Amino acid sequence: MQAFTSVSLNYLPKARVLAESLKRQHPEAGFHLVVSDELPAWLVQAPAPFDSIIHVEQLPLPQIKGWIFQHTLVELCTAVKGEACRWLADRYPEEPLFYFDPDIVVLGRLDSLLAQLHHADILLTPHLLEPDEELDAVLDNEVCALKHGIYNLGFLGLAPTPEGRRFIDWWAQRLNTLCYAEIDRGLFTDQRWVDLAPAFFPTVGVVRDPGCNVATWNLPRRQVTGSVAGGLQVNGHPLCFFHFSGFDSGVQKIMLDKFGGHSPVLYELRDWYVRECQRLGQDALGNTRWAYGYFDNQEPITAEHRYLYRERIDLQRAFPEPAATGNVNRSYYHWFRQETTKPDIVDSREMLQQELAAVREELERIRNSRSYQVAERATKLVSGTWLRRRAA
Amino acid sequence: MQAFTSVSLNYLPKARVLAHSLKRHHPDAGFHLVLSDALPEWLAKSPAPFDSIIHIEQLPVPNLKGWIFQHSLVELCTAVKGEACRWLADRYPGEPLFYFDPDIVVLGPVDSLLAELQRADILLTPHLLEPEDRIEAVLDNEVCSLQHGVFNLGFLGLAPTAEARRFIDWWARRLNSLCYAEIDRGLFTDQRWVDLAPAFFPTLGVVRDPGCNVATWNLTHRQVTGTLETGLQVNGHPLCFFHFSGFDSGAQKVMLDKFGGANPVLYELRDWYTEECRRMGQDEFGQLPWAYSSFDNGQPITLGHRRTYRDRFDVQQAFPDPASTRNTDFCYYVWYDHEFPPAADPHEELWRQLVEARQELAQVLHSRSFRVARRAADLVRGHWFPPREAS
Repeated sequence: MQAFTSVSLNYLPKARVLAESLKRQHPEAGFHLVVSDELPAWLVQAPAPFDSIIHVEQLPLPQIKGWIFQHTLVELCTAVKGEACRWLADRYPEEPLFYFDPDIVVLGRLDSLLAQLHHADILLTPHLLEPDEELDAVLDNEVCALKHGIYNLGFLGLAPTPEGRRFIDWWAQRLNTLCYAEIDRGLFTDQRWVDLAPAFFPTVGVVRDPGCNVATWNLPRRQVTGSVAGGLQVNGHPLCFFHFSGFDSGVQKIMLDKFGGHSPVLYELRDWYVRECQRLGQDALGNTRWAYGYFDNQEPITAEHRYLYRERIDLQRAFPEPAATGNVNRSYYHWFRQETTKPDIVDSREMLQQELAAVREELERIRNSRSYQVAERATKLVSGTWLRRRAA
Repeated sequence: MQAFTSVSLNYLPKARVLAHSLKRHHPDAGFHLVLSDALPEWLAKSPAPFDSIIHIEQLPVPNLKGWIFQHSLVELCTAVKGEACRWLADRYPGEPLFYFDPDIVVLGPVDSLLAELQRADILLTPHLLEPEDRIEAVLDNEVCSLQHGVFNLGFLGLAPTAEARRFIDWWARRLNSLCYAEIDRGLFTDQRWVDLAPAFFPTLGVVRDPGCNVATWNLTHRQVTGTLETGLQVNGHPLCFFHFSGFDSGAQKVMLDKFGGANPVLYELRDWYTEECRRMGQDEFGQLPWAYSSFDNGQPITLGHRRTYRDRFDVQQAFPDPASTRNTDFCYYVWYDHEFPPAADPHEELWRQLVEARQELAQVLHSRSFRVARRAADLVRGHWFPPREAS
């Protein structure tokens, strides 16, 4: 069995907690880390507890620097998952492959998932397994799943089969071109794409074990009991893995308070997780600055920089290394600053005023011409006042 | 077997074509029409080819007038589907139930679907059964599915089982409160909700027969052959039902030209369908205005009217009959106008002046005085001022 996760460096402590937690249950498992950030030499030299480090810049993507630039942090750390699956499936062609989000901890053996991979090629965990009852939960959880994806891609299980591979190839292709968080376009990172999987891949398996991928969004229907020391149960089943999604932003705490009231042991689990992260370097690494968040002159790369670059192939061609600022005349940074600080070329108010003046001028020219005045007097005499002139 | 469709009156001819087409292959089937529009007396009296008409105002939805007002036409005609399923499942508890969009025609027996309902409780047809190959088709079809729903709810098959009923009840509840076309909120009518169904309902069946729900969005992977007389095949399977989605708007033609690969039989089918609709009253009904599209003073109900009303619970309570303007001192129409005066666009005044000036100029240029003056000037001086092209 091989498993991997995908991080920027500030998530390294969490990824370590995850890797250790999986190896505690499955000492035989290989665990790999995909890093979408600067790759420190010390990590390459001593990768443990990871069996290998896959750096984003190693992935076989054309124009890798431009591609990285097109993505925000969350987009990038999810976009690499497709190519990373290909990479690992190529190197471990006989073994089941699992992906876990770095903020997951494995608390029980994955035997039921391994068994399910004998008849399903792709395993997915829906955010929710049962409809919610309260309108509040419907909005928080069901509508949220519609926006962000039915299945939580914090977990993915793949069998070493041609059909598993067909899924990987399709998914990787989509993530290579459209792994963006743009809900109004129907996109949300790697996750919305997988809503299509049950249509495209008949052997998708939906994991219905309530002990898998327990998170605040499914707590209305999952009650956690037991103790951290003695083992945890979900609706009576062993807790297999828990997902601390939204931990650093504080959302996890808010949603735990909202939906976890029936499971006080989750606060104990949360405290344990905080201590584990601390033990594995949270203080030293938790605030590491994301290397791809800055131009090489240390100016921050904004969302606007990224959006414009990803929409415009001409810019991608002109600036294949968009984060480089060395050449003032050929850098995206300088181009962008010049373009966006220019006064608006098309001031619609000004244009409206110009056109209005031109039309009025022409009207005046006609009305003031002698021949028109003569003709108008003549026609008025003939047919009364048929031409209704407005007051000027 | 019972089946139904859901329409406003302008879709009545299409619904008739559909009902006839199903009954041609299944004379035993009951076919019902859900109508979200004014119900004409003649239709209530002689509903054939429909076995019954379910009028929206019969449905057990609380605050019905307000509820109707909250929905645009497409939203309303899809929102009623949940309650209509409940209604029909209550009345025909032992029978499988099918929904078809009114712009579908059934071209072969649905036996394989009936067989599948022995194993699956809920049958759905994905817009696409296979990934697309070209980026253009990915954007047109895969991304479009992500925005509008993975499964096309132009078709739905339900077994007469407890599990199917659990689906109906869940779906109907969601449609009663959130059946809106608001893609940025993750909603698209009745269709996006069903993306959740594979997670909630383990016995759901995905229909993989390429002959079902053939439409322009899946033509890239479906080759239609045969003739109308002898029968049509899709990738070698019998064509079961075809979906003329976007027919009136012209989108069907545009996408057929794009993805139909100049397949003459698809155009032949299209011509046949046009003719069938005409035979069933397209000329008479096709342009009928929707009864719920205006206030009772004749003013159109805008999307702004509907959205404000649906987002504001206090407004719903204050105006339970929002389309009524009889009480001018206290009606939604007047309240809305007062609450949301036309947006103060900084350029609006300039625009108004420009439009007025252009009209005035056009009037002058078309006036007899101007023509006379120009003729006179041409005579006297050759050119008066530069002649205008085509004014």
